[in-house]
Amino acid sequence: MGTYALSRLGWAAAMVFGVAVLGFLMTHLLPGNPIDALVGDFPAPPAFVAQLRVEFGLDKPLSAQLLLYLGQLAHGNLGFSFVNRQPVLTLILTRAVTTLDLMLPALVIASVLGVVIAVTSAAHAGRVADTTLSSLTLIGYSIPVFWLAQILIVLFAVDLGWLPAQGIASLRAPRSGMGAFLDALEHLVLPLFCVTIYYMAIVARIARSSVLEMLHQDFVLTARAKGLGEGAILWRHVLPNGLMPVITVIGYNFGYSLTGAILTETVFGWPGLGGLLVSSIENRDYPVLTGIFLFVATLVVVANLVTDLVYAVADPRVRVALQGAA
Amino acid sequence: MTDERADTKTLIRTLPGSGPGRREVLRWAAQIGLLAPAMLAAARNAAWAQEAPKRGGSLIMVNGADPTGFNPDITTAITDYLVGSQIYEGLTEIDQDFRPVPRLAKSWTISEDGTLYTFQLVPATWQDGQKLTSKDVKYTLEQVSAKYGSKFAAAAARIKTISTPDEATVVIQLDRPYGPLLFTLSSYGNAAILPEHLFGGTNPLDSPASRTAPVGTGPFMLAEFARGDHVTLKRNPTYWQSGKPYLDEMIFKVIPDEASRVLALKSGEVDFCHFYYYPTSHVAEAKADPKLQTREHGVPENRVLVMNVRNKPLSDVKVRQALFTAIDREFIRQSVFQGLGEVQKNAIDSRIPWAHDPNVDLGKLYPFDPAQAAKLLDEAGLHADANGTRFELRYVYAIAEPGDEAIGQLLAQMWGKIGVKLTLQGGTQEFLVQRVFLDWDFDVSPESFTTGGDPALGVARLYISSAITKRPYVNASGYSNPEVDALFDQGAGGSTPETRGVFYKKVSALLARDIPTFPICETPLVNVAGKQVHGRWAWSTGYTWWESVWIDS
Repeated sequence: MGTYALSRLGWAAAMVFGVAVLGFLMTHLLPGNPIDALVGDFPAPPAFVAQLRVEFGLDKPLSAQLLLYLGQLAHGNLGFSFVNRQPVLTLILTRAVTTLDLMLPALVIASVLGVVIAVTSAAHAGRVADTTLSSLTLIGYSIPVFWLAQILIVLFAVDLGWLPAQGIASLRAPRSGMGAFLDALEHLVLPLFCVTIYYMAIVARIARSSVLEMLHQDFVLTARAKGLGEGAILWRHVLPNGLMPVITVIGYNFGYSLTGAILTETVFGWPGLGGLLVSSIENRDYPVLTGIFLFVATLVVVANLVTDLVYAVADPRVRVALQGAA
Repeated sequence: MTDERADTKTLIRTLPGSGPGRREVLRWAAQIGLLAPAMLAAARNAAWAQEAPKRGGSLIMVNGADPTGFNPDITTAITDYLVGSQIYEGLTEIDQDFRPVPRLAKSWTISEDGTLYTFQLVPATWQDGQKLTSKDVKYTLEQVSAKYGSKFAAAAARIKTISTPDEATVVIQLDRPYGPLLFTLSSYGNAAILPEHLFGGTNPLDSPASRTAPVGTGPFMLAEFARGDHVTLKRNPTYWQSGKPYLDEMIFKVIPDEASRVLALKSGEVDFCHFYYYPTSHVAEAKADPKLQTREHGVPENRVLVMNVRNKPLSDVKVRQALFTAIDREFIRQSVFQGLGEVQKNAIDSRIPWAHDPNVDLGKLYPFDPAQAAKLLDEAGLHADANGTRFELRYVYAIAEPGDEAIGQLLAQMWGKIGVKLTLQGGTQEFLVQRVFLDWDFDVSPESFTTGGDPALGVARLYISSAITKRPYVNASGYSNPEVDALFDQGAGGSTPETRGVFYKKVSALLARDIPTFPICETPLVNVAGKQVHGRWAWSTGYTWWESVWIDS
């Protein structure tokens, strides 16, 4: 198990390094440059442009810039944003927290509800409940999130006036204490619904087929023969055995927790990492872009690593196989 | 829509303190037999004046992204202008008809030869309690605006010395007259006055007073910068214009998505959206909404087609005239701009009235007529081959620029009918800059150009020979005409709009003959606000005058 974890970790580190180099090169080779974005659409004095090039290190050859960047990274420094004039790490962390405020509840709710829907659906396979739930998850999976978001805003914010359309808190009359908490919840409802519905659909669809497959296994027949109730069979025997693909997809979802809500964030003006990514692409803010790639890649790698380890915990067969290999 | 705009203009001209006085307008109107509309406008003006400003409340406006900073002198990005112009102010301010009016300079005199400007400053204090002095002005213009201000560069090149005989007097000596000087001395012209005691000796690009802790003389001061979400400004309690601002707070909410901006206005979560951020496709919706109001104004922008006159056969003026004759510009306005804006009469936008000559009308010179266009091409010796093609052109455009792809498709059809094959080559904005402005590797390219409010600032760069440089947003067509250069130079040299206008009217006639760049549309500039917003919102550039805006709470 230890060797397994170590070798996984080694691969993970190599992957992150690869992403750093690739991310750096890709952002710098994009057409355009950050200076145009900074000075605006009026031709700027050439001396000013030259000064910015020196300040940003853009006057050096690309290879030299890359070496400098990797040197910085080795010291844990992700660089300095051209546009925001702030350390990249500070920027990313602040915005990532806001994204997680939205994504963590969404992923948890999506995972739990997704599994419940899947089990219910599988238990009634082929009947009305199953068809209804399957159709709903298909819709949830395929509905374009920006469209859903607009419709929700039109309905609940513009027409009914029940919920806010934008942001994470009321700007006009900020509340405090319990009021602020309720205000934050009100702002969370619509974006949370949009994100949850999609991830819930993914989990439900994967889990349903996995549970269905398990329902046809011999051990289910044995359990029935022993006289176990359907509920016990489903939740205590079938679900744990059918959990592996579900863990994979949930782990995969968590890997995208930082970038999985870019569209939702954009429509709802949610000040998360998605917005920072979009504006950094527009502004060609190289350090922030590379920083986000690196940060997100690290998260994906970590989520995969954790998923692999959770396999071992969840499934004794994997644990045994690993011990055998070690 | 045309009538509405005309009405607004009449109303504006008769407002006290903006442009010619009411008596002057009345006399002029009587002379040409238009007394009745003028009286009507005066009556409306009186109604406007009776609406007493209210004090208090927060106004929330849309910003497309975070500002990169608050210093209006080192960028022309609208994100920064919108916020920074409330904190920092210029010597002058720009009024609704794009004429300069006093701001931090309460008055000025200009020598007869137009080279010596003497300004008297208002008694203002910085938001940290220090006094504004002439030294701040000298420092800002010499050390910041001249070095970093894109819009101030031309003025800086003509300033010989800036002297400060006393704390409240600034004297600017030019080496030759420069007409747009007063216009450029505004915050919009990259000349907002900065505090020397905070900026002196620092790199203005990094100074906290540029980026995180601005200290201006303006009506509002920074209260909170929540990155990615909003910036909150609060009332400056020691603002030098007593009784102003009316608002307690201005909040700039980042809404990156266009459709979401519309919905936020409709739900009442934001009060104002500058035309730059409001999607043209939703203008009709805003006009129909009883809770919203629109105001058409802003620094005029033009959608033009830049023709690369280095390339054959575009180098032949007859060919350009033929191509122009084959374009149905009204159809483009209807289908691409939803019938908003105006078909552009000539190179100088009609919304800069002192420089525009309404008698030079491309629509009359080259009325839409495909048969005539084909005839002109025949005369130029460009006959169709076996496939019916006379020649091919490449249309290089930015996919993200709204309307440019549609314009390209319409052009391909219109020109296709006269045997000119147009190939559309789209890419990112950077692709466009590279191909059109740096490599000159294009035949036709649609561009959206700001006039800068003054032809010397935003229009000359499209046509003058000295702007044929490999830089973004200058003369990419390669058109060079000494006569045109001289007229633009003379236009920039006069000291009053009237004396300058003469040259711009002449140059628009020359450019209408040569058409190195095809003016297509005066882009619609529709600002949208909730009905609760009153006063000078969307006034002149839309960035300033917010101290004169109030809101029903």
